[in-house]
Amino acid sequence: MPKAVYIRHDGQRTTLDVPEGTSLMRGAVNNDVDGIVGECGGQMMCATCHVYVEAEFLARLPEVSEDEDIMLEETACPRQPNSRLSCQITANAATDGIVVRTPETQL
Amino acid sequence: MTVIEDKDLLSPELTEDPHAYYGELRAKDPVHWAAASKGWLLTRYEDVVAAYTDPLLSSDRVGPLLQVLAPERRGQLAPMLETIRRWMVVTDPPAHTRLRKLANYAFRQQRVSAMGAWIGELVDELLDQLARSGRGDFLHDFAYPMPATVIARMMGAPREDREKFQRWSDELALVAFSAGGEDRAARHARALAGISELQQYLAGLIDRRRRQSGDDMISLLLNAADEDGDHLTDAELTALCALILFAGHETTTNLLCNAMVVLSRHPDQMALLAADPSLVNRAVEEVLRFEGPIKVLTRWVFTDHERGGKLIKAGQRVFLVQQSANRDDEVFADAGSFDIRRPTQPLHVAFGRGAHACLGAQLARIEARVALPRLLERFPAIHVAGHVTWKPNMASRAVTGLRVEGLR
Repeated sequence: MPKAVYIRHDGQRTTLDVPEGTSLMRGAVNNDVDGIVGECGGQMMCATCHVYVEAEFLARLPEVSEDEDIMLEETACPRQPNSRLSCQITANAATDGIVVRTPETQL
Repeated sequence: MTVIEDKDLLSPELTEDPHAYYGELRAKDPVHWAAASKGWLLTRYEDVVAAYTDPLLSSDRVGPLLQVLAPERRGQLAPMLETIRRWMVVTDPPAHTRLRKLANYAFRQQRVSAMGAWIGELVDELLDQLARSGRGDFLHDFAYPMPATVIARMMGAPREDREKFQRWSDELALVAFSAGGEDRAARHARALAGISELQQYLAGLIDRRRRQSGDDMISLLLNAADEDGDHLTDAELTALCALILFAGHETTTNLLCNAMVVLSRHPDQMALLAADPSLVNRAVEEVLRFEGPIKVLTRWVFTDHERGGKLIKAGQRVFLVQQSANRDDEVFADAGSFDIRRPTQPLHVAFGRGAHACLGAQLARIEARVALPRLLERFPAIHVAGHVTWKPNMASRAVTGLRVEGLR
C-alpha cells in the first residue's frame, strides 16, 4: 500500500498506509490525523484539507485544476507555491512516500 | 436497558435550553426514540458524523411523504412538494451527485474569497441604517437584509428586488423549518403562494440571462453541463435557484443573530473579540459550534437496520442532532463553555459533512467574519436588550426577534 507522511505544524509526524486510489484527505480523516478537516468530503468546496507538499514530490502530482486553484485562494493559512488540497492527491505508485505538511489551522 | 424519560424537544423548556437533556441522552441513550418527534435522536458527535455518510440513511424525505399523503392534501401540496423534491438537499446519489456537481461549479466560480470587500461595504451601509432607524431591531435591520442582499447579488438579481427575496425566503421557511405559529393549512397555503411567485420571478431572471449572459450563478448554471453533456432542465434550474436563495439566507440570518446573542451573554468574550479582531475566524467557528443555526438534520430510513443496539425500521426518521453533537464532552473540552479561543479542531458539525455538507459554508463564514468585527468596532457597547426567545422549530435555532441596545 502506498505510504503518506503527514507532518503537523508542531512537527509531529504520522505515517499512514493509504489504499491505492484513495485521497490523502480521506486517508487522514479515516485515521483521525490532526490538521486535516475535509468538511465537504472531497468536493473542492471547503478548502479545509489544505497541505504544503514537500518540494521533491510536487512535480509528481497532476497539475492544479481551475476548481482547485479557486479553492486554494480560500485557505485559512496563506497559499504557497507548494499548496495543494489533499482531497486532490491520490495515493498511488507515483505518490508513494509523499510528505505533506499541514498548516497551523484549516479555518 | 436504561430507561430515560422521553421529552418533547419542542416543549418550551427544551426549546429554551435542551443541553442538560442532550447530555443525559448522550450518556444513557445515545440512539433514542423520541415519541413526540416520531423519530430516532442521534446525539453523540461520533454517531452524527458517521450518519452523514451512511447510505442506510436517505436524504429523500419528500418522496415518502408524497406517497403517504391523503389524496385531498396531496392535491393541495403537490405543486410545492414537486419543487422541493428536486432540491438536492432531499435527493440521494446519483440524482444528488449530478445536481451538486453543477451547483458546486457555479458556486465556486463566484469566488467567495474575493467578496470580502463588497460585503464589508454592505455591512457598513446596513450598520448606518441600524443606527438611523433607532428601533434597535437587529434581526430586521441587519441580520435579515445582509445575507439576502449577498445572495441576490450572486444570483444576478437587481438590488431593488431584495425585499421580495426576503419575503419568499420567509415563506419557504414556513414549510422547510415548520416555522411560524399558524396552523398547518394556512402555513402551507401561504408557502405555496410564495413558491409560485418565486418560481415566476426566477423564470423571468433565467429568461433574461438566457438572452444576456453574465458572471452570476444563473448564467453559469445555464451554461454548465454535466459529464454527459446534459444541461439542467428549466424545472431543475428554478428549483436549484430557489434552494440556494433559501438556504443562503435564513441560515445566515440565524448565524448572525445567534452570534449577537451568545456574545451578549458572554461579555468577556465579546470584549476579547473587540480588542483583537484577528480572533474572528475562531470566534465564528465557536458560535457555529455553541449556537449554530441548524439544530437537527433529518434522514429517512428505507431499510431495517440496527443502530446502537436499537432496531431502526424502514419508514422511520433519524434525527442527526447537531446541536447535541456540538456539545459532546467526549469531543470538545469543557463543551458547555463558550470560548472564542478554542482550537477549531476537532471541528463542529454545524455545516454537516460529506456529500450534503453545506454548499455555502465558506460564504456564510465570510459573511460572519466580515460582519462581526465591523459591528463591534462601530457599536462597542452593543448588547441584546431583554429576554431572548427561540422559535419552537425542530430544524433551525432561530430567535423570535432580536432587540439590541448600545447603538451610539
